[in-house]
Amino acid sequence: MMNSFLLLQEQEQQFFVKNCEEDVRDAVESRLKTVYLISDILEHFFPMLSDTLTVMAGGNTINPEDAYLTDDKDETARPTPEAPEGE
Amino acid sequence: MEDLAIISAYKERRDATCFRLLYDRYAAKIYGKALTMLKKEASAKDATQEIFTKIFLSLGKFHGQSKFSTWVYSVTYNYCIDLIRKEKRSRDIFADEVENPPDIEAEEVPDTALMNIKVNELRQVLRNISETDRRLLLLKYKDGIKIKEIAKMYDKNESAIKMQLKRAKEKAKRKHEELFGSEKDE
Repeated sequence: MMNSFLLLQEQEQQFFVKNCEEDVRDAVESRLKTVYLISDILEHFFPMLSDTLTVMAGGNTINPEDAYLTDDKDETARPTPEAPEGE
Repeated sequence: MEDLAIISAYKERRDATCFRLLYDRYAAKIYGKALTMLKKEASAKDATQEIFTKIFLSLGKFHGQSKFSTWVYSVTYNYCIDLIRKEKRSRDIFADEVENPPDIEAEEVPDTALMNIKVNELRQVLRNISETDRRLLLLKYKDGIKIKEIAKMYDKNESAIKMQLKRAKEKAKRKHEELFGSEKDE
């Protein structure tokens, strides 16, 4: 005989799947999308906004370097090839 | 596909399929646990929504130190306990015990006595006992939470929880006999 508490749990879960699952999923998805959108906008425009505020306060903007060295471009990061034996 | 693989894929791409996979795996379970704690279906539904949002926004904090399910359930219980505390209901959890100390001499009700009740009868019994007793019985027998964990959850010692649980079982058994008569007598 099955434990009645587990049967109760099963019935509750079935009720959720039948009646609320989609509503809750849609609500969570739309809330997450909104939060991500706001955070993406902030991430994208925050440097520009902080530069604007700095200039308005009488300071200078930070001039970003034209090109940043990456691991691939940085020669010092590459292991130097060993000379083949016998040479 | 394992939870960790889905989580790392979601962290990389915020992929809707990954979201749905995790949602389908855990939503109903979270709802069940929220219902244990909050009693009302509408509150449990709202809590499930809040908990899921919280879980997905905090996925960055999960590094796989424990099982994902363990982390999800701890977020769930913590959220519900905070909610109950805000509504100032949790402070009453042991009020009954203080006012009316448990009868030590009473015979211990075996776990199977409650587990073998018909599910509709169990539902009725749970509706007719105090919220504290209902919650304790469901945490222990429906959600399978260990006494140690329940004690930690409520910031109480294990023997206090054991005693409260013993009383809850007695009350539930008595209520069942009151509502449906003792099957043994038949």
